[in-house]
Amino acid sequence: MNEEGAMVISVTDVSKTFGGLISKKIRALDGVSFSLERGEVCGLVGPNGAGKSTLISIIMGAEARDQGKVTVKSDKPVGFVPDRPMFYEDLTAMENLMFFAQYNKVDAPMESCTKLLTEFGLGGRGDEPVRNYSKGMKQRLAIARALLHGPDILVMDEPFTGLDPTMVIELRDSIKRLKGSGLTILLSSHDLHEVNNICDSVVFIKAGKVVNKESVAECHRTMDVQFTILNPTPSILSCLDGYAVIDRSDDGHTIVVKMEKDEVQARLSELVKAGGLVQEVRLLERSVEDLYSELIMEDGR
Amino acid sequence: MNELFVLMKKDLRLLISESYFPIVILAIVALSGVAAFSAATDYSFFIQDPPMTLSIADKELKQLMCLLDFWKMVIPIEVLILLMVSSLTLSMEKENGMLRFILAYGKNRSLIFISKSLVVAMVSLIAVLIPALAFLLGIYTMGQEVLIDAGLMLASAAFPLLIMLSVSMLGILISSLSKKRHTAVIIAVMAFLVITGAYTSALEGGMIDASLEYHQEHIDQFMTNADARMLFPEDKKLMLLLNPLLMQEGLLHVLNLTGGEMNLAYVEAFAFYDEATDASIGIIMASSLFLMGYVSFMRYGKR
Repeated sequence: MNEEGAMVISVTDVSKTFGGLISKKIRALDGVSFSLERGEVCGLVGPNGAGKSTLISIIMGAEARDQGKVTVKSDKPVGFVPDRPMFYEDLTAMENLMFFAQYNKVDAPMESCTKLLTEFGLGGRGDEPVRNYSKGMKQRLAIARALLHGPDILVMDEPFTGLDPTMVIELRDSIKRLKGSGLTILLSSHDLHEVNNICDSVVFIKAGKVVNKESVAECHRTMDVQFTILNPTPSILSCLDGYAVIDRSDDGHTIVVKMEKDEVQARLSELVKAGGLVQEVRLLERSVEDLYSELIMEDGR
Repeated sequence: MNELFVLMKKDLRLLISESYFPIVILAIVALSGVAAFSAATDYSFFIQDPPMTLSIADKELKQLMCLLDFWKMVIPIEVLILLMVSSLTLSMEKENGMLRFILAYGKNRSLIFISKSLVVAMVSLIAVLIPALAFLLGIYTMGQEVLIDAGLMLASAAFPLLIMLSVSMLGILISSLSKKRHTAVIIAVMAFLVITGAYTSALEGGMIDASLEYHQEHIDQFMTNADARMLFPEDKKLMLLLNPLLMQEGLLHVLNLTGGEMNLAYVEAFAFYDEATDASIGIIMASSLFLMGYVSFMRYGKR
């Protein structure tokens, strides 16, 4: 493995149970394993109660695990953006940042704080108490704070929750900028569209178990292809043998199969050669949402 | 050291920015003012209408007695104020999640606790200096000469300071054990009621018990302080020994009001221990409470 592909976060067989003596035991995590490589931007998705926040708390060291191992390879503390942006609300944004800068021994703290405030669009409001900030401003300030000490790894818990569309766009742009800087990012989110846009990979988690870790590029390479064939005889349809059939119309004219983007042209030629009257070919690009439907929602869509 | 300084700077700034902080300072100032006015008035009346010819020593002794009454008026209310302020220190940061967030940085968590304790200790110092200053101002503004020298005035503040430090450490312990600030304040108020209630009941109950036992054998005789110390029930003595208000008796020693030749009135104030023992009890109590709070804090978030 080269330097670029070096593993920086490794979660191995981690389990966590809450409750017990008085309350009902809840298995929040059950043998969770996955890893992140340097520079990877990974989304953590799953329904409510799947164990995403517990997993993030364990990675951050804020929650103890019952079993398993978490390895974080970084010389600097991991930058963390919690699900609820928390600050010393009575202090100004600058005071908040300055405290964390000095606490983490950041060189030229004042300059670093000013630069980050400007970078995240808060330059003119650094002297205001944080309690006056909107949720979106707090979210941006939380990211600025997490980046203050120049971490190698950034963990974000539900960064898009509760933001209006403008704030979502601004936050997405901020994360995309960070992605270009070589930072390793793990973010949990319910916003599959944003995960699809931002992330390199996605960890799907359901009922405390990792169902799959999929590369978003891989997900995009495979697509659902809809063929509409006027004479769907068995010999013609045999050209599509070996492909997973996603859907088929009652009259048999329309069939949707899953295949890689590169193969579509060749299969179309084969169908035509076999005498198929192909009326239409529609390429239905698969997204993280499609994967989520397949992996997480038991009855699909 | 730099880390501790950064934490203390933040904790001080947080304390000053809290909405309750001006109220706390105002309460201490007002309390000191009222107590100082009361002490100064008492002294002035005594001087204007003396029961006998007064020497300078008599006047000084009266000022010392007024100072003792002054501290006894100030201390219980300041105990309540400091218990409440210190109980909020960690519980507020726990409630808003900032404590867990800071701990996630994996830095030296001892310094977080030490910083909070030092800031609270500074508040304790302020809570003692303001009344001391108010007392001197009170006597002075009544047109009277201040006969207590600065050294004695400062020394008299030492025992109230030990009381304040002990209750502040108790407050931090409460804060360390509470997840919510409201819970912490409620426990702090309950602790205040227990401290003041237990002190009064143990002291008065113990004296009554000792007196009853003494007079079973010594009819028509006055029970001396030495007799009272000997006959004082052990359980009540233990209750007092565990109570920060016991250190008030250190004031009697510092102000030299535990007996001796006095021509103003018969004064032989009751004290269990000597000055050094009282100071040791105070230091041990404050240190033990600090350590208990520290251990509790170090366990926070760890399973």
